[in-house]
Amino acid sequence: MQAAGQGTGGSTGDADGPGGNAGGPGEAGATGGRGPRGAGAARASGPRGGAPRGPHGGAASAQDGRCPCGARRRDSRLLQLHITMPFSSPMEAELVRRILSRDAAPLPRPGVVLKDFTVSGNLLFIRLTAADHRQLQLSISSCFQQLSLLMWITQYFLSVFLAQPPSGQRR
Amino acid sequence: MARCWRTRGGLTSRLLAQVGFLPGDTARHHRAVILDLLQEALTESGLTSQDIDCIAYTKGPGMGAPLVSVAVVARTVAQLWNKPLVGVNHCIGHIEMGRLITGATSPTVLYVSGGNTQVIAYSEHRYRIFGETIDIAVGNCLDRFARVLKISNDPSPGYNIEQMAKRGKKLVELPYTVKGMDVSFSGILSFIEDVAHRMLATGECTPEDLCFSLQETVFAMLVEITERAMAHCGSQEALIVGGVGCNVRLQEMMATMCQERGARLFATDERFCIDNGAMIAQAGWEMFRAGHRTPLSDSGVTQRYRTDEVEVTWRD
Repeated sequence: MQAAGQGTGGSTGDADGPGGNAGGPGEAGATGGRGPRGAGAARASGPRGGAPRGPHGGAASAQDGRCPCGARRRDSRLLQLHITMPFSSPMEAELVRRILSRDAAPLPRPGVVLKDFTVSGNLLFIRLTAADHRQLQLSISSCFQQLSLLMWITQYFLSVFLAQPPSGQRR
Repeated sequence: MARCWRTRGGLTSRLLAQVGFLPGDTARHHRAVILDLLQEALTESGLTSQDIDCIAYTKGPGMGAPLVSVAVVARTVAQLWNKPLVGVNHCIGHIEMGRLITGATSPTVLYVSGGNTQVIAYSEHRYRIFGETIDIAVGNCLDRFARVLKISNDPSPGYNIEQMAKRGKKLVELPYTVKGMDVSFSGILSFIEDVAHRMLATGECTPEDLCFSLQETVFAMLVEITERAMAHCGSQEALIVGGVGCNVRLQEMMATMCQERGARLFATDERFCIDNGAMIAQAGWEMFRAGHRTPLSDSGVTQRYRTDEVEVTWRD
């Protein structure tokens, strides 16, 4: 339980207190299946569903902390979650990537969850890396809440966005 | 400017009844209401996204989770509407709203809230912090004092302390800690937590007496440091901003000090004292007109954003 007035590390994005759930507008949660028309749903799985898989098809978040991408740190205690999220267009995927990546910690340091956001076509790949399972849980919750909120916003205003010229000039 | 309120009424009572505002719960609230509020503001003002000049959001300071939630919305809307972003310091939002509403030109500012206690004055393109709390904010002290005495949180602990203080008759001596232009409130809180129940049980004083004594003591400390800053700066104006600034007794004590100095006191009512989005919009507007833009790469939030970190280019 967080005491009043204490923050929870806003720069990492995983800023929920203990007990936070993947609630929020639309209650998207982690299982996917719900989301705005035309946009994909977040799911912690690859194209064929089933157990969560990384972008290269490897299993995610092995119990012994092995990184599924193959990298291995000296302390071997890393936990990871890979999320592949399809969008209706590459533009949407890139938009979400730009917005979410602002709150990712730029450098790894103890106690901080690393977040990587990459885009390939209309797919957004999210990788959350933590040394502690509790931090990873909080980060997952926070990540899905932000994704849910983003989906809600784009559903709200997407029609205006799509009507704009592709180059988009700032005032 | 549309005035749409989601003042956390029910949320306030429920959360403060527990352990105060929790970052996660507050962030959840913001996420739940922000889009409806945004749409309502546009509708009430008769504007569309095309009419908006820029998107101002709170960059800090504050609780991390709520800050991030709103920053995500601001970034998204800015991208979708193709509008520039302006990240605003929360404290400067209070100051600029206070200046706008009261017409004060260059006051010494007493910024008092649940999260901040600072004495600020403008000098050479910065809002300089002349004095501040070295531990907890005065509003935090009041809220935790209310919790010790089990004073209701509805509508707010500070308001209820203020009403009870009006019925207090006895001044109980409490620790008075001023160090130059800085103040400390943790000692008062420790003292109250230690002796309040004993004093009440023995009939030495009443809860109203303690509320009265607490206000007289902490507000006198604030008046002292404000006066010291005014003397240092040669200022003839004082402006109170922040949620605790709604307190009428604080305003009375500050008014007495200003009168003795031949200075003017400016203060707002609860619509603009308490945290609100309009103050962020006002400060954002000043910054936007002065040419400030927050690139997406710099649109993160920071929980410890000092008032004097911002270059105030919109003032001479």
